Amino acid sequence: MTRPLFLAAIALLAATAAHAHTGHGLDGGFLTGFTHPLLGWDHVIAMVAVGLWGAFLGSPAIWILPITFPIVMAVGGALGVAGVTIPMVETGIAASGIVLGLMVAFGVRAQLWVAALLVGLFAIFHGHAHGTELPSAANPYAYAAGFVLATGLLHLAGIAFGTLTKSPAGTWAVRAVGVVIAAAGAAFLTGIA
Amino acid sequence: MIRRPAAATLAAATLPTAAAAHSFAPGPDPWSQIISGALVPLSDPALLLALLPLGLTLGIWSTEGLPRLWPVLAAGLVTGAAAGPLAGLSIAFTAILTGLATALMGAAALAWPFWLMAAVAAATGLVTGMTMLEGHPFGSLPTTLYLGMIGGALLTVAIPFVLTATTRTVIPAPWLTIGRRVASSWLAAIALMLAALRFA
Repeated sequence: MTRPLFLAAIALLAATAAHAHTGHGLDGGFLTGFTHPLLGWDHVIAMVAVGLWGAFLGSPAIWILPITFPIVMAVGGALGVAGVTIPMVETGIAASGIVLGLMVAFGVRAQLWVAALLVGLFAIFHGHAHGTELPSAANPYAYAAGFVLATGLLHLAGIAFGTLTKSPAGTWAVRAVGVVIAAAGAAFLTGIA
Repeated sequence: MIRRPAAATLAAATLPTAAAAHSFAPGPDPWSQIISGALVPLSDPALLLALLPLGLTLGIWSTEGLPRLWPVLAAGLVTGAAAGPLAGLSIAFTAILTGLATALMGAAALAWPFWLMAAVAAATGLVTGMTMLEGHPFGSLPTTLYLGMIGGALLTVAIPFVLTATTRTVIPAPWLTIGRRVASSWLAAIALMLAALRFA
C-alpha cells in the first residue's frame, strides 16, 4: 500500500504545468479561421485594397465591392471544399495584390461592373485557398464564420482608411498605400516575400 | 471484482437508445422546458443561419418589417413544428439555403414587394420549425418545450431586426447603411460555405 502512495506522491510533485487550454483545441475553430486572413499578408493586402478602391470609387462601389467579395469568395471556398481544382491559386492571390494595389495607386475610375468583376475574380482565388483547408478543420462551421468575419473587417479597415481621399493630402496617402500593396504583391509573386 | 463492472458496461453499451438529431433533456418543471426549447435555435448553425438573416433582411427592408410579418413567421414555425416528423435529414440543408437566399436579398437591399417578404418569412418559419423537430413525432414532447422553441426562434429573428431597425431610425448614418448590407453579405457567405460543407 505504501509503494503506490509513494509513487503517486512523486508523480504529483514531478507534475509539469497543466495544458488544459493551450490553444491547441482552437485549431480549425473560429479563432483559426479568424486569424487565417489576418496572419497571411497576401490576403491582408488584397482585402485592404478592395476597401481602399471602393472608397476611391465612391458610392455605390464603396458598398458593392465589400459585398461582392465575401459572397464570391464563399463560392471559391465551396469549390475548394468540393475538391474542384483551380489552377495557379497562389499566383492569383499574389496578382490580386498587384492589380488592386495599382488600381488604388493610380486612382483608376473603373466602371462599376468592371470593378465588381475584377474583385470577384480575385475573390475566387482567395476563397479557394480558404476552402481547401476547411474540410480538415476541427470545427469547419466556426472556421468558416471566422474567416468571413475577418475578411469583412479587413475590407472595412480599407474603407475607413480610404475615407482620407476626401482631402488632397489624404488622397496621396491612400495612393501611396496602393503602391506599397502592389509592391508587396509583386514580392509575393516573385517569391521574394 | 472486475467482472461485474465490465458486464454492466457491456450491457450498457449493447443497449443504446435511438439517436435523434436534436435530443432533448428538459427538466421536470415547465420553466426549464421552455429554456431548453428556446436554446435549440441558438445552438444549431443551420437554424441560426436561417433565422438571423431573416431578422436582418426584414430590418433592412422596413423598420416595421417584423411587426407586420411576425404572424406569418409564427404560423410558419407552428406548421413546420407540426410537419417535423415528415422531415428528412436534408431539411437542415434546406434551412441553410433559405438563409442564404434571405441574406442575399438583404445584401441587395432592393424594395422587395410585401408578398415576397411574407413568403420568405413563411418559408423560413416552415423550414426552421421542421429542422428543430426533425424526427420527433408530434406530441412526443412537452407543450412547454414547443413553446420554448417557437419563442426562441422568434427571439433569434427579433434581435437582429431590432438592432437593424433601431440603428436605421436612431443613427441614420450612411456608413451604417453600408454596414447592414455588408453584414448581410457575410451571413450569405457563411451560409454558402456551410451549404458546401453539408453537400460535400
